[in-house]
Amino acid sequence: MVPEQASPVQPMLQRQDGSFVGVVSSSVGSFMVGFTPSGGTLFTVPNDSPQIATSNNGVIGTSGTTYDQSGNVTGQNATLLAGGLPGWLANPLSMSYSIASGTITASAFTPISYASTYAALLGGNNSGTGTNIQQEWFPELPSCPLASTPCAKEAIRNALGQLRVRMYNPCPLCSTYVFASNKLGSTQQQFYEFLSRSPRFFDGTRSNAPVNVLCGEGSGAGGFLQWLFCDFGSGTVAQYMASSTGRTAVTQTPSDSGEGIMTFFVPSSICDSLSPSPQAILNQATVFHESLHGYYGRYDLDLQIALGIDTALPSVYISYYLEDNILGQGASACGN
Amino acid sequence: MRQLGPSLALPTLQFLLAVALLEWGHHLSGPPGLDTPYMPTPTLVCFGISAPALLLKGVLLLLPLTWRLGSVLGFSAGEIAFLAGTIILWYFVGRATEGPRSSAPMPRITGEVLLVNLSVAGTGILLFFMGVIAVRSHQGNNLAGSIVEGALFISWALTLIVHSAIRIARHLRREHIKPSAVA
Repeated sequence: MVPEQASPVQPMLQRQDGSFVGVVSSSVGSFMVGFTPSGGTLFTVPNDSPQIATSNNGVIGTSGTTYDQSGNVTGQNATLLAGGLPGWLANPLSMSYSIASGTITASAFTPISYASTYAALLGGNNSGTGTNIQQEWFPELPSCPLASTPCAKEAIRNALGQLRVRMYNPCPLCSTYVFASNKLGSTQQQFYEFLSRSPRFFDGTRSNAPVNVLCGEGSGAGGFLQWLFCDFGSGTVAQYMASSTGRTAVTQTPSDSGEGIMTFFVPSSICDSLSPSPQAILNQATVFHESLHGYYGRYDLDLQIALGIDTALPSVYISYYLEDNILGQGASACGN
Repeated sequence: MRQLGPSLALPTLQFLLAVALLEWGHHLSGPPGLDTPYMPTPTLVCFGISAPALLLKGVLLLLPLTWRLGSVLGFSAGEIAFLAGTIILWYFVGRATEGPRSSAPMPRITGEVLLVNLSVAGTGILLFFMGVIAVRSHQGNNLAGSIVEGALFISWALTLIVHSAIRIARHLRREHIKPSAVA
């Protein structure tokens, strides 16, 4: 694979496409090498070794240098460059707690999108115990903060912000069509407090979280009994999303006690539009709808019955109900 | 050849039935267009048939989150707890059915007997509330399945409450029968 090779190739990581990255030493130094399962060489890079395989088929070296699928340098990862390693829950919290490097830091860094293979990370997992696991229970939604057309993360955050404003201000229609005792009950103020908690929006198509993470542990005896009932088997959220057509989002029902909404989206189902467009209203209706699941702990069928929506219709009609009766002037599809 | 007693046959059969129903449920994906997860009818029926076993899932709350959300051989931690509970539950049901049906009078009531029967009744009350929740909340986006599940839970609840009440009553009646009458 390399000139004057002195040892066999040592595979270390598996890339998103199933090929491997490893190291090999020779009399002229060590190399990072990418190769196919049948042993064909894809690329060699001198004086670096693989640390993390990323979802775009690239790899991040222990030097902090980032490479594309062909081994070309694309940039540097600030966290690894500074001698840190992403720790547990690194991505959802955008924090870095690095014991492996000898320092414990809590610095914000750009989330790394891991490959979904079992060997995406040196050491097998974020604790470095050697057990290879699929990474990313909670992958971030695609993000492009300064782009003219918003990505999924910016669009859904914008929708949540608009909904918070609406719930903060008087909303007689909300009282009539959602919070009335003959609908769902509770109060707009309490719902606003729930919305104000940190949202947990993730990319459901890449999530390896067990699907039972959607069984929230609600507060009180009722929350405990509901949790006892709740079991969706042993698959992952990504498998659940792919198991049937028309699944665009799935929400933890109810949200864990004291936590905000947890929703896994298919990113392409989020309208790439900001307020006040009709598509942004649809996003707002979607967030409103998903928040009702998290807040009340009620499933689609239950909400549809309570709101007087035909149960034969798909659950997107809950969003349409909120658009038609409260938000107004919303779109029925994104048209992304 | 010696016949398999109910305390062995019942847990074995019920365990196999539960595994089959849960496995069947794993292969059903539910209707499209939902954004809260679907629980298949075989899964809900399975939980209903051995309703008290589901309470064993509660011990998972004592475990770390990663264990609680783990899986073994295609079954979630909750399902494994339920299957373990199924074996325990039906062992006791088998024991209760295979005991000698004697017409001998009940022994004098003790604190232990009272505690056991009150616990059984308490379990029944808990299952009754769970049954009501299942029916009212359309558990797992499954209208028919949740009604069947709820009905099974309520049946278990009434069985446990009535059974424990009868046992306590029989013990108490013994207290009020004159010794000569007993003899």
